[in-house]
Amino acid sequence: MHIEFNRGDQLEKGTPSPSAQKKNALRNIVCAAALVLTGLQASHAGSGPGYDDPNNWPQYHRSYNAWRFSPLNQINTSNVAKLHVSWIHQPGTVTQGLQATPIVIDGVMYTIGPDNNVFALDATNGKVLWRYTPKLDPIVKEVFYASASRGVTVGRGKVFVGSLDGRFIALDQKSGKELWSTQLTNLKDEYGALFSSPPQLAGNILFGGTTGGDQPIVGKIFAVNADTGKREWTFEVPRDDKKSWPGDSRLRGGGSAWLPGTYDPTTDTIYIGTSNAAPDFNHADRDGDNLYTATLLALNPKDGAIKWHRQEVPKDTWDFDSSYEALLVPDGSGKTTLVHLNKNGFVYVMDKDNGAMKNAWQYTENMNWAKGVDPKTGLPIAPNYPETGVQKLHCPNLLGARSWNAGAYNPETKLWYTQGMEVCNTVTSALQGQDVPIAGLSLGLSEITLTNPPGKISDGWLAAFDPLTGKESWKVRFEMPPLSHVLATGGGLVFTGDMRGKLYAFDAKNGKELWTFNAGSGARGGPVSYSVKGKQYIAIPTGLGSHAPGFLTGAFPQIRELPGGATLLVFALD
Amino acid sequence: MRNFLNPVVWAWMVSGLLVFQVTKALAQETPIKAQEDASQNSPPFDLTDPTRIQDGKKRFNGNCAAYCHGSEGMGGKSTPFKNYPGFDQNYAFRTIADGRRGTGVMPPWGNTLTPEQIWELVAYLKFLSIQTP
Repeated sequence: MHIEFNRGDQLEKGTPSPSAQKKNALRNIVCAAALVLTGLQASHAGSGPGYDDPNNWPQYHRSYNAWRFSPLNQINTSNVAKLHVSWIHQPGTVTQGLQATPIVIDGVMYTIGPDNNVFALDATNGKVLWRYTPKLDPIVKEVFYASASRGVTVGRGKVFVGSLDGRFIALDQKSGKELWSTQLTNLKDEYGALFSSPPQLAGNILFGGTTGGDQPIVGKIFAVNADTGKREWTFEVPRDDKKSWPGDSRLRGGGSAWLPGTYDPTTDTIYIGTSNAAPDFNHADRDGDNLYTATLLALNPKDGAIKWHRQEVPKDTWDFDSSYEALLVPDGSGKTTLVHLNKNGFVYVMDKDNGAMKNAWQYTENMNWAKGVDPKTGLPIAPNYPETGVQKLHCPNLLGARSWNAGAYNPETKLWYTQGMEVCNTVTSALQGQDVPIAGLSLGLSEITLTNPPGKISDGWLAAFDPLTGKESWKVRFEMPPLSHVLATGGGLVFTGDMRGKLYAFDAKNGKELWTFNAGSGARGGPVSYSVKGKQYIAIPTGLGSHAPGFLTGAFPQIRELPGGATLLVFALD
Repeated sequence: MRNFLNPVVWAWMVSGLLVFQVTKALAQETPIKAQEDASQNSPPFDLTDPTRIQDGKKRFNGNCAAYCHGSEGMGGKSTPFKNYPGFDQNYAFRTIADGRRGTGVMPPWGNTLTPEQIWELVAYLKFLSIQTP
């Protein structure tokens, strides 16, 4: 790993000057006084969205604006080097590692391990308060997206689970007892469509989508009453429209919504992105725009009606989902703007209330599937579509310019900390056969090979961008793409982990490495921060799982030697 | 002593040893189930038949390469499929049919692919095992 210095953001080197030493001494005195005044309280600055409920991590991205920012600053740039393990939780199963982002509310951590094992833990010491193990339909062992879950949702006195056998389940928050369970998919007929992500709350509506973007199904977003489990509405992602989906191609069009959406209570709006269309790399059978695949949707939670939509990749034929987080950030003029990364390597900056384009910027370094994105229309410029029987090089690769691990935004630095992978693939598009097995994928190809970008070696990075313009403040390079979510804190820190299991805290201002810890297995979940009785903690799930690391072995053979695992590590200062 | 010479006792001991060895060999990533039948141990066609290899390759590329084993089996977390002198066709058949579950997951294909289709995959893997990376 090395640090790139950009536009004068060089790290300080050598001995500070006498005047700097005086300043440092004065700063230390001020800091010490501040600590005395605040006692041992985990303090924070700021107010409003992103700062609310500072001691907790109450939802997937902590706040509805998807910042993954904890305002807590007890652990900060001056003391993070002293961070050490406070407690450890091991779920006892390791298949596909830990991919969840834990939820922490009032001193209790709610999290989920492999095979939908749900735990409530004392967030100060890891003591198991209750455990829930669902009785899953045996068909879950037959499907492709097996074993893994990205988290649970907590609210209305309940813990909500999206299950591996296609159910939404509600547990009693205090006891872990099952309150209701609603079957929403038919795995046998829908190629194992299941919930790999936690359903989200929008008032009394619980909503979420399934896996299946790469499978010959009609992908759906489901909504139920959060208190009773009664079905409220279902949104079919492939629109019933012959112009958009010629013939009966819609019935095999994929279009799932496999990552958690967000709910903006200030406008009563659900933001949720949809996946690629299927067959992924061949559109011969679906020669339309394939709405609403590869689309960011703004939905009314009451009935699932579309408020607005933006399809980022019409007729996607590169496996470029629009599933990633809808980041809401200040635009500098007192308003809020929506920033959305697509797997295709472009960031779409939009009006959050109508989806109108404000800007588009290139996120990835290596890009050849299009010449660019029109910042006014949001449409790709001269897209280079796969052609049946022709091998083509496409950058980014099918896993995207970044995997599903979300970035983090710090409102104090106004920077978005997010990761990337610089890997391309060759693909030979092919007509898709009809005999797709339950664990099979509808990819529409005869060959796919991960490869280096032309003239370069594949690698990954963590960068700090102005989310509105893409202006890069700093970038840290990694031998292999980091697959952990990012955490930003009010202590001026950026936490993440790499595929080898090395965990990091960087200085949010300049990317300087301030702390590391060897976890022994890679990070694929969501680091979070919380405070209990005035003490700040950093929790980082570890244990390398998901299909992405396995497929990346094509570009990074060293992944083959990396061990799996499933260990939640919680750090504190004393 | 009489029991020790009893062929039934010997048969139990040998089968017990076999079970132990198989269990030990598969301990790290255990196939979900093991269906012992004739088709598992005897391919119904010549595994070097180019047509069968081609059919297996097509199925491999459509179902196994992307997201998992990579092109020509050189991705994924398992042993690279090319230049693999330890290739065991029966073990390969059983793994495809029953799947694997360890730190990662390989779904079982035995309920959705016919034994003949699985043997075509094995034919392709056997072909790869003698190729130079």
